[in-house]
Amino acid sequence: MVYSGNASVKYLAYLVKRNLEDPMYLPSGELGDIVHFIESSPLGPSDQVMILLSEECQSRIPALIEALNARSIGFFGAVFPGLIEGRNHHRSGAIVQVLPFDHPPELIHLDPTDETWRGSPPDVPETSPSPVTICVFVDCLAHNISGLLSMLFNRYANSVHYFGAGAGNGELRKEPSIFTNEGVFQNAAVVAATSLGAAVRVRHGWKRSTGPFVATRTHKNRIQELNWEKAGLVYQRILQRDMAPPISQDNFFHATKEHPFGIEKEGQEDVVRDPIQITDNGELVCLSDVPENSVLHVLHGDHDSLVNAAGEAVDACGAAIATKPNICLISDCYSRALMLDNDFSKELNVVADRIEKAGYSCSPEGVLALGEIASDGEQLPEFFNKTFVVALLHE
Amino acid sequence: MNNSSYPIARDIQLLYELSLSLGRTLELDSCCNDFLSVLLARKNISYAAVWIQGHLLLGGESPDEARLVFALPRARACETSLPVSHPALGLHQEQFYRRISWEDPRYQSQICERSLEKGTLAVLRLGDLGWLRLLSLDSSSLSDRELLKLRNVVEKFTTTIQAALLHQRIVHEISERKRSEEERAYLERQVQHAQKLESLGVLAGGIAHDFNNLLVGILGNAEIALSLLPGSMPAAESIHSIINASEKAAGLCRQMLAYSGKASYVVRPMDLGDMLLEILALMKVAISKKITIQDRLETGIPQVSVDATQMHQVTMNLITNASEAIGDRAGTITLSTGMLELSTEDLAHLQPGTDISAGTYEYFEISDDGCGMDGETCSKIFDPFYSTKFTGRGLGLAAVLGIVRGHGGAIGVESRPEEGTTIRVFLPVKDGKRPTEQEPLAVGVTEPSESKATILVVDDEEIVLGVAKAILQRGGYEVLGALGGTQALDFFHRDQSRINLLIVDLTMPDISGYDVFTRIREVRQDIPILLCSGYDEHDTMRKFTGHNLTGFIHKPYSARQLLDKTRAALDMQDENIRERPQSLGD
Repeated sequence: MVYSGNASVKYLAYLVKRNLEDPMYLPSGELGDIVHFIESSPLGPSDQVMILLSEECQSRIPALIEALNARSIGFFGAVFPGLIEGRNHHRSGAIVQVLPFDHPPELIHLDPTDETWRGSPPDVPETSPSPVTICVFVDCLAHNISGLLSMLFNRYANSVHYFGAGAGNGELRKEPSIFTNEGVFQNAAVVAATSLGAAVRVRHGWKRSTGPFVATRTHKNRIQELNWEKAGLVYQRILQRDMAPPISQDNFFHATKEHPFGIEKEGQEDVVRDPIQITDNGELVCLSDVPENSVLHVLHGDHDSLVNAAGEAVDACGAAIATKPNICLISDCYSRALMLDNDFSKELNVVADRIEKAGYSCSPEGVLALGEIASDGEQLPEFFNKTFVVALLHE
Repeated sequence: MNNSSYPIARDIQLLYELSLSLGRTLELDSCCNDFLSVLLARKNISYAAVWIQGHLLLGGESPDEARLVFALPRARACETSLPVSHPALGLHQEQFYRRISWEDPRYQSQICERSLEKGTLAVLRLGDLGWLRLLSLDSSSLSDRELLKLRNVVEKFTTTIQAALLHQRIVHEISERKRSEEERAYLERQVQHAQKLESLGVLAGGIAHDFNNLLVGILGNAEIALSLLPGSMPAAESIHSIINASEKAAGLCRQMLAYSGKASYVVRPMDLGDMLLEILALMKVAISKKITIQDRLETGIPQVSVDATQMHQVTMNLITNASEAIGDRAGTITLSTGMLELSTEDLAHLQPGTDISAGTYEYFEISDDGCGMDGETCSKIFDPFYSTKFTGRGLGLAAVLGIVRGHGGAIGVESRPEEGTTIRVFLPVKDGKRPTEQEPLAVGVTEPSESKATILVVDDEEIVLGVAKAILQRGGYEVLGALGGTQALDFFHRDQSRINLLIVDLTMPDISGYDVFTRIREVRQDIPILLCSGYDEHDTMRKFTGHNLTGFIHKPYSARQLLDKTRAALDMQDENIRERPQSLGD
């Protein structure tokens, strides 16, 4: 670490002791395995354990919290539809990572009825000469995620890099998915500020196919009108032109998985918005907010361009750091993985290849997320959809 | 990376979205947030801030000062106020924007934010209102073309800010007006309440006065009747009952007079702590055993000048109420004393109707953890005849307030339902209104007179006149009775050589007791005159200071009291005559 602190010394010792090639992925996700792994790690008093849990292991959370609290181990984590470990992705198991923190993670409750929240994000060291990294895991079905991200941006600006993911299950059931020593929570986010530096990059590889369309009437993540017409009708017409089957509530994902929306962002790829549902009255529900009067394009997925985009993100991320990273965290979209299907392995191989090619000893690990969070601090952090985010954490 | 083939279409999309982000609200903060959030979300801009000339903002006066009203992200904002001449805001008269790169040596002098070490900074004019500062790490995002592209939408943004500022001012003025109206209404309510209390005081005082006259008749006649009856007569017991009931009625009258502030005071220096402990010792038997008494009496505070009897009544009433508020439950009554500086603001929270000024006051406080009161009950407890007790007459706390007001003090009450009540009595330490110390008239035991002195009794109430005459005649005096001031002056001018003493009622409809007294004194300085009233002796005596008033009889009086006062006044007159120098005696 470039600034002083006991945490950095401890973390160095931890890294020396730990073989970085050791898998952090625990395939069973059994309580005993997770606890044993953590207990065998050289934990310092300011270290926190980040636990990325597969949806399959969700039922073990209360016992896990009890076991770790009994051992006075500080931790935070979230549930995801899948996990990434090296060149593989899994529907089960857990990824456990010990990270140094100057301040314990903070839980923020997002009110499901209005745009308020309770709790305040953790402090970050003001004396740090370079930005530290905050990890944000948020219940993907919570209200006002964009408001939360604006609040974090107003609080930290460019003194941090932002990395995170939307948590939940693949069926989008409303269930608690965020956990800390305090318990397991729905409509909540956990914000943790590790003292490690990072480079964070975002790519998706989607291309514009049709547009522009104006989202003339929206409410948060619901597009009610496109070009002053029922959004569902307009979207249906667009998809029919691309020979997609007629959309319904039952086949919505399969009919639309290759046709998300994109919002213009100067100098960058469009910001992707993934429609996940059509309502009875023809509104399109997206995973993230769509601002009213924003101009949208319908995008089209090309497997190769998507896979290559992930590789580009790793390259760009590597180019942004001067030292070798210790940890490579991935937040890749769950629906992107579903859409790529068998080609998703290609994406993970490309990512692993680029990491190896760069000579980094760390292995990619991360989550299949329901919305991806990223910013280098110079831009408002976004809650992306169908996008690939990579963070290379370094001392 | 943007695959749009038509840059102009891209520009239109941005301007469309920016334009429609304007005018959604008239609230300044939201209006800036709506516009700048879109700008940062769509363009490659890292920081945006709006500065407005100080004199256009609420509370801002100087046209030479600019203030930061909005920044996104806020964490980057550092300075919040700058002189308008600061290089960070400088623009030539006709300039819409200017731009500076971090490589320019002047860049650092134009930075008033943190973490803006590199990039390109643009300052855009917001009409005559202020400035918009934008920072991007990508210089092309703030190129001439990009900035000119924003000109129209920034002008619209300026108009929106202008409307928001106007709205802010109007809302402020309306709020101020509303606040001032509420304040005036509050003061009016206070004045009305004070007037109501004053009217009640006058009413209570009037009733007490009339009742006192009636009680003089009842008590006097009962005493005369009793003296005429042999003790063994069965009627004697009934007459004793009449006297007892009349004395209780006289007690009620005293409470009404206390409320009206017209009770009689005899003040002397007293230690508040000693007084509380003294009363507590008396009352311990009457307080439930489940109640714990705590005292937090401050030592070393100066004595206050109070009427001990009246203050005992205040303390007893308050301790009784505290005990009743706790009831049968276990609880605590806390007694405390101290000194406090009351500000004008503090005075507003005291019971209305007290006319005290800011300054240092001593206080004693009685608090309980009993049932407490809601706001409505709390606002009425000092109203006469208001009671929450089944058998209460509603005069206890009314009298307390009257007595405290009579001492130039005030009362503060804090109470919450189910939490308890604290009543704090403030008394002036110095330079405050307080009753002047008045020595009670020295009276001795009086035997029936043998001097055959002639006494002129003056009262507009026939019943009072009759009783006084009967008592004095039975005391061995010759008595002339005058029904009112006019008749009294006639008698006096006709028979003044016969008259040895005048007993004059103070309140009479034709000529007041004061006027009768003054006119007689114009003619005769040597004749003793006793004034008689149900009102406060102290107040009355003060009015006659330096006018050679012989004494005062408080109504209702007993036969013994009237005879004692009469004898004392005549003895004083005899003494004066004996002490008069011989040359003047002739």
